[in-house]
Amino acid sequence: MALVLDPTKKATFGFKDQDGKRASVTLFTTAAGVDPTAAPYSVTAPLMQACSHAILDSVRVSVTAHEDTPATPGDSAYCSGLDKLYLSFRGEDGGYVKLNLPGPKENQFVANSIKANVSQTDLAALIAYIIANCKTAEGRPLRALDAAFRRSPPRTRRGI
Amino acid sequence: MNTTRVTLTYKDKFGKSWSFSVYVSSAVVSPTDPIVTGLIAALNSCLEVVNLSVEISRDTGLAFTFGSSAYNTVEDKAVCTIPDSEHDAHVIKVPAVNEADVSSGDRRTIILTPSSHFKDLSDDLALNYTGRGGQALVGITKAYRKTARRRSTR
Repeated sequence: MALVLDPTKKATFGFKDQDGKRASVTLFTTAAGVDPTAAPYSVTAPLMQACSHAILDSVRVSVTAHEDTPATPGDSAYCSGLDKLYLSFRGEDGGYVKLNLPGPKENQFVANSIKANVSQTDLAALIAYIIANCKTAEGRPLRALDAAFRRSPPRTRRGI
Repeated sequence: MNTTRVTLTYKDKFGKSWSFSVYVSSAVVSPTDPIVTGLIAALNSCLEVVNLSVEISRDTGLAFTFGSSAYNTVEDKAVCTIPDSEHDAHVIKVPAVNEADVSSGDRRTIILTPSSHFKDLSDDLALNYTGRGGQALVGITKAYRKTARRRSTR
């Protein structure tokens, strides 16, 4: 099991017209680096803008890697992706980072409860790892776990 | 933005895929960075779903201003055909094409003469961009304006 990098990076140039409608142009490149403010993206942006009357208001550069041999999904009470482990973290700037993790293991929860068992070894390690390494969207560090519980799948309508 | 967005895609036992994103330091520039692989390892021990792919992305906002053109909706596009070195054709659609870049004769053909906007873009595409598999592009060989779809008045 290993992550294999895609051969190219994807650059998405986002446009917005005067009505607020959005469109984008996607290009692929083998250029090094993922900084959208550096070349070749910084060179292409004004050229792209010169061709369009809409405003070029964003550039996104992304790199993808795929598992070459994905494992077999587990099977337990909450193994469907519709079942979620909801984790909410408080950031240093007062904002919240919310995660809905699909298909949690059954042992992540307190028995007969929707509460997550945050002292369970694996879950405690995950929470500590996220606080240590993840950030808010604005780049501020995370401070602490705010909430952790199970979200069950939405109910389906009966008789259909 | 001073963060890198990490989007993780997982698959459950029913074959359905699920994605979620987190933000990490902008120092992370590869999906195989130890911070990302460490996060995947920590998630794997808590989830029944299995990891399929990781995408990292960085965004930036730009501050261009509106130009002046008759074709001011993003649905008015310049459809550009760009062959690669293996003769596969790629198509990009530049939204809200500038009126000045469209032939005044048929109002459809995009001007690709030297030093025109689309020719400059074509040269840049040939120099810096490729097909999805990494094949070199040869530049825009054909381009025309596709008008916005007309809406029914009913």
